[in-house]
Amino acid sequence: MKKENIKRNTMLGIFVVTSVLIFLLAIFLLGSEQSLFRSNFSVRANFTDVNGLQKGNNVWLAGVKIGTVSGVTIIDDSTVQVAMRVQEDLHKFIKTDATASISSEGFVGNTIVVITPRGYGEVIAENGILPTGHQTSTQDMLNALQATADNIGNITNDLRRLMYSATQPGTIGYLLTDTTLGQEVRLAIDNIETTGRRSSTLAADLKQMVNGIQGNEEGVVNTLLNDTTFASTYEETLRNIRTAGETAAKASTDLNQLVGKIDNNNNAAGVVLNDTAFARKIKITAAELSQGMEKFNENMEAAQHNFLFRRYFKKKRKREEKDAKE
Amino acid sequence: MKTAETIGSAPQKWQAFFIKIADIYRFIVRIFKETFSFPIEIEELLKQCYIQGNRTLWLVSFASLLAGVVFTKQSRPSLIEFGAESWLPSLVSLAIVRGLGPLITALICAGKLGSSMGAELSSMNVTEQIDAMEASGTNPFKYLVTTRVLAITLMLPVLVVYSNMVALMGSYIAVHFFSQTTFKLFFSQAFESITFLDIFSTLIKPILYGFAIGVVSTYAGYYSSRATVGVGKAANQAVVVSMVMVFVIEFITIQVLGTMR
Repeated sequence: MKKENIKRNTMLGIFVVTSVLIFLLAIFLLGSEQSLFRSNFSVRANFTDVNGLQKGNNVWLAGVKIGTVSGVTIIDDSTVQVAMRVQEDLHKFIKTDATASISSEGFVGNTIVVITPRGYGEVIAENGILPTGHQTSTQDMLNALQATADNIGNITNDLRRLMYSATQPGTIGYLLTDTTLGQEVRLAIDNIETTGRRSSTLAADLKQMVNGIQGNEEGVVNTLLNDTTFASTYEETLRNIRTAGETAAKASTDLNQLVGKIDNNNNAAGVVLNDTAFARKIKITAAELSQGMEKFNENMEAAQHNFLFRRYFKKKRKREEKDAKE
Repeated sequence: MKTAETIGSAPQKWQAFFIKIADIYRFIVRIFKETFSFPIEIEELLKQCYIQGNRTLWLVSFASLLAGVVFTKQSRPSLIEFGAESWLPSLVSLAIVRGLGPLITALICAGKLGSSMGAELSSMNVTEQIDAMEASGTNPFKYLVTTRVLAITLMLPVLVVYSNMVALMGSYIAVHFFSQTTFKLFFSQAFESITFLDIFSTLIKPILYGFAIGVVSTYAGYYSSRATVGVGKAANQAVVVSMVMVFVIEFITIQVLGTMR
């Protein structure tokens, strides 16, 4: 063989061998990615819906890829059995009470099986069936999003109605359209500010007054506030006032009854107070009595000068003069 | 001036077309027969493998490297828009292994090797070297056509493996430039989405491409006209038809592989 041919064929051999090595490396990487060159064990799980899970999809345990899905089989109309190949060295972490659920790698990621360990059961047997759980899937999130969107739609409609009614004549419409309202509000705020300032001054004065009261230990207010002995006196006074009030109320009632009785014409007082004819008679009688009394006085004057009584009246006058001198 | 005689009527055209199809069919059958019949022209086969493989490697590698970088840079903004930049290695690797790598390699080979084969055989035909070989007792078909078709059929998958690797490296360079992704993570993510069927298809497709390019180019050269213009025509025909055939085969293989996924 020519020297040139040897060199050419050597180069060709290196070229082909390198290519084959690269290809084998790719196969190895692919195999290791799918856990083909490791010892594995199989577990299964029955789902009602696998959400597009396919052979080759990943299996996660606590967020770490531990294997791949090796088969998806429909058992009956409501059961899909998923077979998984999981790394043998992680077998001990998968217990019988661990749950398998369908999830996805992120929002737009591939569908995956997530095994959630509980840690209380026994290590699952080869080809054992894991209980299934539920993970929040993209579909769940979309459903929640749809519900939120519906709510936002309703709120927007309400807001639209509210805004429409705000532009119509009414309280809110007036608030929004009245141009002088701003100035009035500003004025009101100014007033509030002034009031606040005054309140502050008032509070300062009040404080000063309170301090004065507290400082004057002999004052009435301080005594009222601080003298504990005064409390009993005060209570007794109040009690007396209450008793007096009650008595006054009773007296008032009695007086009321008395007045009621007086108003009645069936008794003497009532007749005296209310019967006008009787009053006239009394007036005439009084007049006659007055006249009678004048005549009686004249008679009595005459009697004093009578010899029968003269001596008595003389003695009486002397006794009175003696008493006056003493 | 074109006349009815030179153009030919429509039925005659169709007849010529079917005759050509029959010729190509006989050509392919003969290639198979000559490939598996003794003596095997091993020296010429290795020489052709070297020319079509080693000599094309740098061109294919350079094109693939640029394709990997460009494809990654073009895909990145769209993925960022969806918040899926981390999917870039998976996307690029799938695109390269399933389609881009084999296609770029095949098109470059169709351009470089197809034109070379067509022009070479055509010029040998024009200079009556093929007749001379027949006269000297050498089987020109086996020596010239079979070895070339076999060489490109064997070398194209090898070139595609290199092409894929270099394109992935180019993609890694682009990804690392933007995201500082580690080499291990990039290839881990890249191989996560690839399946064995993809690896299988990346080997099967170039075998079909190579065979098609080889057949088309050698046919164009071997049966070229004896005129001097025949050389250029044969080279042109080899390149154009080879490239069209590459896309036709790509379409068919995608359909077939799609049913297997």
